[in-house]
Amino acid sequence: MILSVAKRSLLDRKYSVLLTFIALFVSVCLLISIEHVRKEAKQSFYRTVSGVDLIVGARTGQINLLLSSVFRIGANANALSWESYQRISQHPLVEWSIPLSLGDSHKGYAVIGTTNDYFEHYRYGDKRELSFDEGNRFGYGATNIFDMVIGADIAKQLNYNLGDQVVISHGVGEVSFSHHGEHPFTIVGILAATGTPVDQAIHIKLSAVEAVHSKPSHTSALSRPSATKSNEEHKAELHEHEHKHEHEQHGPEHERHEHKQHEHEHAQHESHAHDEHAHSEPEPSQISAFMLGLQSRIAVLQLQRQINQDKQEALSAIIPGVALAELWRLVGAVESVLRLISSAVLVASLLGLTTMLLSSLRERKPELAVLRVMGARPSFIFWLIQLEAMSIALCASVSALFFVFMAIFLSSDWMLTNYGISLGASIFTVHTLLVVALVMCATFIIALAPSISAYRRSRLV
Amino acid sequence: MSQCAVNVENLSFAYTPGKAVLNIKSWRLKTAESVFLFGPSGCGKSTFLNLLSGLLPVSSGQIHINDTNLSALAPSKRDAFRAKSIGVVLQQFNLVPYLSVLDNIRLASYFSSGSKDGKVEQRAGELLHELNLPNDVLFSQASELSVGQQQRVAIARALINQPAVIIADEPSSALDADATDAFMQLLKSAVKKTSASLIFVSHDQSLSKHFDRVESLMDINHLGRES
Repeated sequence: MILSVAKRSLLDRKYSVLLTFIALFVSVCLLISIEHVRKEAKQSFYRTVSGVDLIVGARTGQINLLLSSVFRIGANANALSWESYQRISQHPLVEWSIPLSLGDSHKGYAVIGTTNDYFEHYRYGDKRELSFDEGNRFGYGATNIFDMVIGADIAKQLNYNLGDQVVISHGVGEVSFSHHGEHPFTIVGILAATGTPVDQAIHIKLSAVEAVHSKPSHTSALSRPSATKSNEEHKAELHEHEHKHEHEQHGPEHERHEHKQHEHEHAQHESHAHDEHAHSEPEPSQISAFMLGLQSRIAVLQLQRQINQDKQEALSAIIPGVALAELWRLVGAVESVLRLISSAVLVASLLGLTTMLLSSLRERKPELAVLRVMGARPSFIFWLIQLEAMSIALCASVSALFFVFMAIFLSSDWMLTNYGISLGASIFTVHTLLVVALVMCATFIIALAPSISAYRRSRLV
Repeated sequence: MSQCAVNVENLSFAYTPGKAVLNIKSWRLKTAESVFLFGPSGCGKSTFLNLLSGLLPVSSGQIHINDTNLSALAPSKRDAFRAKSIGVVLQQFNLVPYLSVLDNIRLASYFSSGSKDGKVEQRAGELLHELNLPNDVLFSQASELSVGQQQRVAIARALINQPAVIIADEPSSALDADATDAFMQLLKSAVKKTSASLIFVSHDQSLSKHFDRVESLMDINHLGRES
């Protein structure tokens, strides 16, 4: 009975009710979609890397290392020696390792020097492997040294196909004055879309990174057939050039800072070079970072500490999950602001609802008195007002849910093709239901003012 | 006592403690008796009616209606008792404007029984017929009716639960002379059929001819006389 009374009462004041409904509808839409995008963004953020136990680079902050190695934002100026990489990747606790060499770019996209281990072990999302849309991994042997594998976005944005010739530039940034023009690369593989920074990355062989930075005269030497399968051939003499190169990149202020370290590296490299000569197994002198997969996750903290306290080189090992969480705290602040604004909008429209209810109380005074005269308890009056408020809020929430669902459902393809943002249409999660529940609670609390006022008045006739 | 529909003893009421506005030593109304109460405004008419209908709590003294001690009931019990045993017709605004006539009457029935009564529609139809209202009025919205029609529907609403007492507070003051006469006739005959007692308050003394008893509230209320 109270339901039909509330329904008729709302219909009687349909214009003010409709306006209140629209205000609430818009704010709940805002709240739900912001929450949804926030959640999706966070999810895709945490999806970027998984299954990697540690990321190791030269001594730096964990966010720096994460940004440069996973997101390819801002190159980590410091490099770590190949020798350290070799030493740590052969640690008994390590199951696999992926070396990464950063610092080059192609039309603004990061170029990553790595090995086929990258395609073998890198995981994203729910421990998903990288798969190929077209083509395959780097070919083996020296003839395939300028092989290139590109991410899905790059293939789409730059309209590249298998077999295309690509020239990479030195340094990051869209405009570079130093092109490695004499070493064109050939696209041999195009990765399937992952929704992670991998889509926007260009992968070349680690040894090719060394090759493009060498003088033209050295390049010919690289066409020498390789003896090993996985490690690319490389001339030990390249080291000298590489160091020169590094100095150029760092600039004077860096040079001063890192002078000591470089000396240290020099010392190491000399012995390293001797090693290489002895084994006639040419390798890169240094890399930017490497990723490690361990035998057991229990060993992560132990190995992290060991690497951080490494006596031969100043290194930093980070746990991707921990670093991602720290980075998200920085990025997430923006989301919090959005959330705050949409909450404020919600509160404003709820206040509008209360105002509507309160102002209608005056004109409803005789009506409420009749209800009392008929034998209605004051609590009936209280719940009538509450019910009216709650039904407006519930209708607004449900239609907002439906609207946002349809909007996402209809625009998800467009969003994916135009912005590369994949939005799941599954907004009917516990989280959104929680938002709706929160809206209902807020409505109840905020509608207490008119309800109690009506209750009090009706109690004293 | 059993033929006594209303029995008031030593009743006093104060809105603020120590400032009593009503003091009635003894006042009785027999079953099926009708009484015409008059008095100037401010003599405590509304207060007395609100006390009788249980809308106001008694400060001291007792009100018995059909052997129920109204003054001893908890507020929610008083509300339930009013819904069941007391029909109230006010000067105007007797109906919830946005509900249909039938829903208004249904609501009154709902408050009295706490459930939906399937026979309400039939009884409401009968009552409206007695009150000279066309049957289709049942389904029109209360606010669409004329004042005269609204007041007659109010009688039907007040009578639907067959209450012991009908309290009418200036129910005809919004009507013109002809309509008032017709209204009084309909009220009297409808109330007579249910054998309810009728307390009718008005300052239009020409209406007093319709009633068994005529009393001035100034005579009943000792405080009213003093002030």
